[in-house]
Order: sequence, then structure tokens, then C-alpha cells
Amino acid sequence: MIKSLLTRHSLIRRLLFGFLLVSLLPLTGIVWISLHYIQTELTSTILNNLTSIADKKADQIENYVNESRTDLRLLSYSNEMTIAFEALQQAYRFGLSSAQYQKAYLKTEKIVKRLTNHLTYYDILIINPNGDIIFSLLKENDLGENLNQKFHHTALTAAFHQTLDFLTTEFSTFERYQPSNNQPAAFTLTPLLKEGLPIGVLALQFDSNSYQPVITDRTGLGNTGETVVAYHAQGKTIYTAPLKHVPNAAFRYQVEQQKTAKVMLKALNGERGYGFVNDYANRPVIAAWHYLPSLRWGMVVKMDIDEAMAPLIKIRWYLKWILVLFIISASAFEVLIGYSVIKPIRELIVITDKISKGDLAQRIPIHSRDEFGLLARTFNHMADEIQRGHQQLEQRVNERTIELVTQKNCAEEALVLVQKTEASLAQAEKMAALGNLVAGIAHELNTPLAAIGSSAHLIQKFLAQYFCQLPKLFHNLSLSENEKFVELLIQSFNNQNTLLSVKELRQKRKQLVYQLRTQIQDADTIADTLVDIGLYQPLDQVIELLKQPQGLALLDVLYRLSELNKSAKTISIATDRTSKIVFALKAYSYQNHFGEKIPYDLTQGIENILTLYTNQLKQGVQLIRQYAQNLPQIECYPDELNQVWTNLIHNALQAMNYKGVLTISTEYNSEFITVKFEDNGIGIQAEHLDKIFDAFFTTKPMGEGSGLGLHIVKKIIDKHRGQIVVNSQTGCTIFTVLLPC
Amino acid sequence: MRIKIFLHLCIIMILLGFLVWRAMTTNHQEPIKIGVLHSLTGSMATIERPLVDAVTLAVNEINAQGGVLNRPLQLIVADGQSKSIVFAQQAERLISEEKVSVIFGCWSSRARRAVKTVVEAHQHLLFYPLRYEGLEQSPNIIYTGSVPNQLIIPAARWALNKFGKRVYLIGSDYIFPHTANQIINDFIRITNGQLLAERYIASSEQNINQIMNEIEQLKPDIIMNTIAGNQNLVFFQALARSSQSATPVFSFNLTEQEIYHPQLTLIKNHYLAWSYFQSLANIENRQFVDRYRKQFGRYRVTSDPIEAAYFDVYLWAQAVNEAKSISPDQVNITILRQSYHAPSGIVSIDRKTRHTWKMLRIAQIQPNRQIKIVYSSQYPLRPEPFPGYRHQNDWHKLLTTLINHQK
Repeated sequence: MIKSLLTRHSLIRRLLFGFLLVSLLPLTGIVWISLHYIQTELTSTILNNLTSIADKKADQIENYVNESRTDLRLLSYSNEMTIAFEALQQAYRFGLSSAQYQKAYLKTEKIVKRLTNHLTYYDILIINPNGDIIFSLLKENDLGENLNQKFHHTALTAAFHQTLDFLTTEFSTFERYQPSNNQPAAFTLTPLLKEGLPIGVLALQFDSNSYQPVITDRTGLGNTGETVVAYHAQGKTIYTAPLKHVPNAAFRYQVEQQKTAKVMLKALNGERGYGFVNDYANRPVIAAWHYLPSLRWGMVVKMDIDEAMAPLIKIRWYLKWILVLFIISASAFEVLIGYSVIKPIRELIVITDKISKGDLAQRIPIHSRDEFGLLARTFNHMADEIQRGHQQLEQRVNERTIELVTQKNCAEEALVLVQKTEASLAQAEKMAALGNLVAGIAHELNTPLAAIGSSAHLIQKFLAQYFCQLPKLFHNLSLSENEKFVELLIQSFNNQNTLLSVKELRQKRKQLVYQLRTQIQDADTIADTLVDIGLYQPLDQVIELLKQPQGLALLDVLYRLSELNKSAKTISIATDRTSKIVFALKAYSYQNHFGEKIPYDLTQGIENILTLYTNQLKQGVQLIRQYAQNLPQIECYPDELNQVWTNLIHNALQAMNYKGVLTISTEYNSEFITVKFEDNGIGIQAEHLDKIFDAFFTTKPMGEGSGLGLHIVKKIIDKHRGQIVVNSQTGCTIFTVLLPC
Repeated sequence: MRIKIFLHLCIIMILLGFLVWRAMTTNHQEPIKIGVLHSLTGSMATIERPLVDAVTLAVNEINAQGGVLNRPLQLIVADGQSKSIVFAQQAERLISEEKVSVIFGCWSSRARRAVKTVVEAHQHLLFYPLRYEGLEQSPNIIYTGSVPNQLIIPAARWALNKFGKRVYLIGSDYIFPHTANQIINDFIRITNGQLLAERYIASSEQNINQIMNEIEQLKPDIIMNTIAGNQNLVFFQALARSSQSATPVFSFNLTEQEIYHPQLTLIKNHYLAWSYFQSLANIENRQFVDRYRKQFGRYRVTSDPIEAAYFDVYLWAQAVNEAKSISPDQVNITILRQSYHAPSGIVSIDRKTRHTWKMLRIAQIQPNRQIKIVYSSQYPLRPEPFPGYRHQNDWHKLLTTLINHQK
């Protein structure tokens, strides 16, 4: 993430980001910390303020109570008061309307007024130990009442008893007081003592004016501040001063104790504290709360949070805008700085781009003396160098180009030459092979032709020497003798058809010599002749013939005629042989003049080649043919394939030095026809195996092989989309040709 | 590599910021020393030691809540050895050497007066948790026990009304019984009662038979008892054996924990007056008793002085928090406005008198030694260390006479 930030984005963005980070982080930190402190301090100040206001109010009330107690106690110490009380008490027995009481009342009123001149109170009561209110300055309807009767349950009565019993100066807390129009009233009571004994009770009555100014004083509390006071009575919380959010609340607004605002419950529970709370109207306020022991009241001095915290909100608002302004100005400033940095870089980029596209004359304008100026100068210097270098390079390239073009032309010519040479070499190879073949064929043809020649000569000689003597000879012979002669002649012709080996002939002759020796002279010679003629059995007719006077002559004629027959037969055989060779040659040199594939009988093709090689083969090569039956014909270029077979057979024969076993086998399946040529010659060395199909590769001595034979074979097989594989070790070399069906 | 350095820098910055923040926000955690001065040895040790426990409990609780001004409280306990001179020395030591911020302590008035001179000399602050005879108001003491107008006067009036006006006063021979009896006497007079006799048992003296004879002879309606400590055992044993064993006895000097002393003979009508009793049913008290027992033992008994010693610490802690200072000068100002909901009810410091608004409760000891509250004031009573029915000067004179008499 940071890496991508640092590397992926443009420099200006990174600068902006970095600068803002660096400048705003501490700024925001400081702002945040100061805000926090301001808030803490402000809260603490407000709380202190509220607490001291609450303290002041509590003090005022407490002081008021204590002052009234002191004042009243001082009043009770006065002798005048005691005397007045005693007089009043005396007169009271005669009833309120009695003249004595009226007199005593007026006297007491005078004294009381004088003694309490400096005091602030609502009314002043004098109560005798029985609880009778025997004096009231305001003469409200409590005058003359007995506290133990009508006002039995009032705070006044309770306080009266305490005062009298414990001789303490009591303060009864505020409650509604029926005689004073049911307005709230509180009383300070003190015993009137005579010689340490209580003779009555003095009571100062206070109305709500005594505390309400203190409570409603909003000094320092702003617009929303107020002071809430309340007390518990009979499970209820009774609010004792006006409330902002509740009209006419004083002593009228009551809430069930459980439903009272928690802060007020805390205060009423004697807790003292300050903080953020909800007030009686469930509004969030900041407040300080106290318990007032004299009144047994809870007091909550509070302000709405909004108002109390207004300075903070204001400061927040200012700080927010200051921050925004700062960010904007900082960003603007940063952008300016950024651009001043970026501008020369961008110029550099543009110039570099132009230079990289070949405009080497471009230079960066130098604006400044700073690092960028230096960079521009250095860059320009570099560009100069590049330009100079480029020019030199260009010159050298031109020179080299000319050189290269020349060399290229030479090479092309050489290539053409090579190609031509290769073609002519291939042709030469072909011709060499053909020549080799033709030499064999010539030899082959020579033999029958010689046979025909000698036979023809023999016939010619016979015709010239003996043909004219024949009629004369036959004329001298009897009919039976003629018949016997012809019979022998036919026998001789027949016997000549069966060829006998030299060994058999020698046996036949021995046999003949043995048979003839007894009957005829010169048996050896005659036996030779008979063997040549082919007359071996039965010798009776021959001996009979020989016993005749012209017998020897007849034998000679017989011999001549059988020779004639033999010659004719030889001519016939030689002619057959010759025509066979000619056919093979014709087949070999079959030319497809259209350059198209034609059906081809593979076995026949190989056989033709073998025919041509008969001469080489017959010297000492045992040929094993393992042809598959019904080999299908394939579409191919026959003359080219013939050259393949020729080369392979020729190589095999050479490898065996024309002595050994050559096995030719064919197989086929649905895809391929496989032809294998296996010889038991010297084999090919392993390191040569992968080179033998290369052009001009040969292991033969210089001038013997062109090194193109197998190269051509490979090319032809490739042309037929076939494969040729060689396996070779000493004594066994197999060339396998695969041809697609 | 640069990224690594960058990250490390970031981390270091954040850590530094955090440390600075911590240093700025949290105060140094140095504990606030507070002194507790009670007799841990000597005759008063048994009764005073639980007050040390009460302070310890409050301190532990406050520390568990984070202390005062974010600082823990450290208790320095000093032994007054039941001798007022030692109390004064120890107070001096706590203030001058230990530099405590406040002292909670003293039981007897003699000890308090000894310490009073020390704290006044140092303008320091002492919280005194015992009910006492009153007639004192030191600017350096906060009195959180009841004074006569909160205890003796109402209780005596209650007893006089309830049992009759022929009163026999008996007490130990020291300042509190004398003052108490003086006040009771005032009220016997006010109510037209009859003081039958006012007798003091000298601490070394065993004149109990003489007194018993007198009681049997006078047959008082009520005996007001201000005997202190173990002398009560002798007194009640003798009384139980006497013909007057059914006479109601009102003991002003027996604490609740002493009631459970197995050798204290139970009598039929034995009453006590205190602001606090362990048997108070309110939640605050039940929890307080539970906590106290959890910390110090199942059979421990709380009493009025224990409760006062306990809430003293809370009142002081509130005052310190409000003053935001542990200086006694500052706390002496804020303490005057404090109030607290103690186990005995709402206790408030009276600004004028430096005493405490407290409840009054009267209880009868049941045959099983259980305490039954028979009377309770409606609300906390205003403290009047100098009861208003007599001029302050008169009280001072009286006190001086009594003190001189003691000497």
C-alpha cells in the first residue's frame, strides 16, 4: 500500500500527499490535543463555576438560617422579651379578645417590632409551652391556635417540641403553611429561658421570599442555567422553586420518588458532585448538585450543555475552518512548489522523448541555477555527446553497409553457385549411379550377344560346309536307316533340352566308353561326340548306325545337326535374356513427364532394380526377399523412389563389398508401408549416424562418393512425407523406409 | 528499505506521542500519605484498633476505585499507646516526618485535645470520629461524632419521659462523664426531675458495692451510665445481682462492640444511644457491614465510631477531589461543604460548627445481645457543640473547671 503510494503515483501527487501528511499530521495532532485540553479545561471551569455558584447559594441559604437562629437566640436573651412574654402569657388566659390580652399584645408588638427592626422575616410568633400561639405579628389565623391540635403534623409543631425539649434553636424546613394562605413557610424557633428553664418559644416565620431570590438568581448561569431545589416528603419529590420547563412549580410540582431525575435523587441522598447528567425535563445538562442539611433539600445548579459548551463549539468551528484554510493554502503552496519541481522534469521528459525519437538537435532551455539547471546543463552536454557519437556511428554504419552489400552480393552469387553445384552434383550422382548400372548392364548384354554371335557363326559354318552334302547322304540310306537316323536326331534334340552338369556328363561319358569299347574302335572319341550330341541310351541303334560303312559320316552329320539345334536354342535364350534387361532398364528409367503422382507397385520396382543389379549380385551376395503379400500400390513418383532403392541397394552392396547377405523386406499396415534393407556389412560408425543424411557427407575416399546419395534419398522420402531411419552396428545395418499408404 | 524506515519512524512517532500524552494526562502516581492515629497498645487498644480497620477498609475501597486525584492512598498507622502525650508526639511525627495530608484518629477527648494543639500549630487537619462532650471547635479538626445536642440531650429527654424523673448518675471519673452528667442534670432540672446521686468510679477504685447499696436504697427510675470500658463489666454484674436489676440503665459510654463482650452481664432494660447501630437495615449499612466483615472477619462488629472513622475517609477524599489538592489548607475549606450518604444516613459537615449533622438512634439490648432500635430521629440533627441554652462563655468556664478538676 505504502509502496504503491510511494512509487505508483505521480511525483506531484506523492509530494502533495507527503507534504500534507508531514504538515497536517502534527497540525491535526496539536489541534486535537488543544481541543481536548480546551474541552477538559472548559468542562472543569464550568463545573468549578457551577460548583462555586451552588456553594454560594448553599452558603447564602445556610447563612440565612444560621443568622436567623443567632438573631432569634439573641432576641430570646433579652429581658424585655421575657417580661413581655410573661405578660402576654398572663393575659392570654383571658382570651384573645380580652382587653388584657389586647393591651399585652400591643406592648409586646411594640417590643418585638423594636427588637426585630433589623431583621427580615415574614411573621414572628410567640408560643407558650402548651403549644398555644399567643402572639403573631401579622395576626394570621394561627394566632390563638394550639400546635398540638390543628397543626399537629406540621414541621412547626415538631420543631417546637424539639426546641422546648432539647433547648436548641431549631429551624423547621419549608412547607405549605395553611394560616399564611397555604404559602410555603419555614420557622426558626428558640426557647425563651428564665433561669435556665424554658418558659416559651419564639418563632420567626419565613416565606419563600427568603430563599427564592437566592435560588432564582441566575448570575453566572447564562440563558439556560437554573437552580433546582426539592425535598422528599411521603415518597414524593416536591420541587420548591420555580422551574423553567414546568410552570408554577414551587411547592406544586411533585414527582414520584422513583421518577425523579437521578441527579436530584443523588443530591437528596446526601451526595455531592458535578458532571454531565439529565435534568428533571430529561435534558442533557452540566450540573453541580448539593445537599442542603438545614432545609434537607437537594439542590441542582445546572446549565444546558449546548450553552455551557458554546465556547468549545465556537473554538471547534474556528479550528475546523482554520484547518480547512490551512489545508487549502498548504495544498496550493505545495502544488506551486510541486510544479516548479515538476516543470523542468516534464521539459526533460519531452526533450528526452524527442531525442529518443531521433531529434538529436533538441536541447533543454536553462532557466535556473539550481539542481535542475545543473541537470539541464549536464543533460545538454550528454545530448551533445550523443549527437556527436550518433553522427560518427552513422558514418561508420554507412561504410559498413556498403561493405555488407558487397559481401551480400558475393554471398548470393556464391549461394547460386552452390545451389547450381549441388544440383549438378545431384545429377552427377544420379548419373554416376546410372553409369555404374549401365556398366553392369553392358556386361550383361555382352554375354548373350556373344552367345548369339558364336551360334550364328556355327550355323553359318554348317550351312557352308555340310548343307549341300546332306541330300547325297540321305540318298544312300535305306528307308529304314533314314527312319533310324531321324529317330536318333529327335532323341538328340530332346536330350539337349535337359541340361546336365559337368560331373553327370563325365559319368555318362565313362559309361559310354565302357559300353562302346567292346564293339567299336575309337570308343573315346565317339563317346565324347555322343555326349555332346546327347545320345546316351539306348546305344543299340547308335552302334548299329556306326557299324554301317557311312556310320561315322552319319554320326558326324548327327553331331552337326545337334550343334545347329544347340545354337538356335542358345540364340533364343540370349535373346530372351537381352529383352528382359532391356525391359528392366526401360522400367527403371521410367519418366513421369507430368510431375504427378501415379500408382506404383513397390515390389515390382524393387525387383526391377535387382534385375539391373543381377551382375553385381551373382558374384557373392545371397539375396533374401521377404515381401509382404498383396502389398498395396502407392501414389508416388516412381522414378524418384527407384533412385531411393538403387541408392540403398548400392550402399548395401558396397558396405558388404559385394559379399554377404542382403535382406529386403516389406510390411504394411493401415498407415505405412515399411521397407527394410538389411545388410551384414561393415556398418556405420555411431558418430556418423546423425550426419549421414547431410549433403556432402561421405566416409568414402575423396572422389569416390559425392556425399549426396543419402541426402537425396532423404529429400525424396521427405517429399513423399515418409521417414527414413537407420540402425547400424557392425554386421548389421538396417535402413527402414516408411511411406504413407 | 525506505518503506521500512518510514514505518519504523511512524511507529516511533506514535509511541512518543502516546508517552507525551500519558505524561501530560496522568499525574505522577506517587501515593498520598494519610495518617491514622489510634491506640494500638495500652488500655484503649482493644476498642480503638477496629477504627484503624475502618479507615483501612475505606482506603482500600478508594484505592480500588482509582484513588484520590488519580493517586493511591497510603496509610501511615501510628500508635498513640493510650497516652495523650504519645498521641501528641505521634501526631507531630505524622505531620513533620511522614508528611501526611490528613490524620484520622483519637478516641478519648484527652488524646484529641493533645493532638488538637499539634494540628493547630501545623495548621493541619484531624478527623475525629467519636461522639464526645462537645464544647470545642477547633479550626483544624473536623468532628464527625455526635455532640450532646445530637445524642445525650435527646436521649436523656427520651429516657426521662419514658422511665421517670428520679435519676441516678454513674460514670467513670473523667471529662466526658462529667460533662454529660452536667448536661443531663440540666435537663433533669428542666423537666422537674430529681437527681438522686451522681457517682464516679475512679479507674483504680473498686467501690462498686458501695454504689450498689446506694442504688438498692434509692431505687432510681433510671440509671444514666457513663462508665467507660471494662468497669462496665463489674458494674453490670453487680447490678444484675442486686435487687434493682430491672432498673432501666441508659449507657452513653458503651459502644456496640462492647455489648458483645461475653462477660458483660445482660440486664433487662439496657439502652444505648448512638447515631449508628450495626443492625440498621438500610442497604448502605448492610453492604458496609458485609465489606467490613469480609475484610476483617465474620464475627467482627461495627459500631458508631467505626462507621464514623469509615465515612471520615470518604468525606476527606471528596474534599480533596474538590480542592484538587491534598494540602490541608485547601481541604479544610472544601471539607466544610461535604455531605455523604454514610451507613447511618446522610452525614453533612456543618460549616459553622465544623461538626457533623447526624442521626440519633436509641436502641435496647435484647436478651440475645441483639440490638433493637426503639427510637430514631426523623432526620439528621444539627450539631451544636455549645448547646444554645447556655452562653458559650459559660460552657467554656464549665469545661475549664472540669478539666482543672481532673488534673
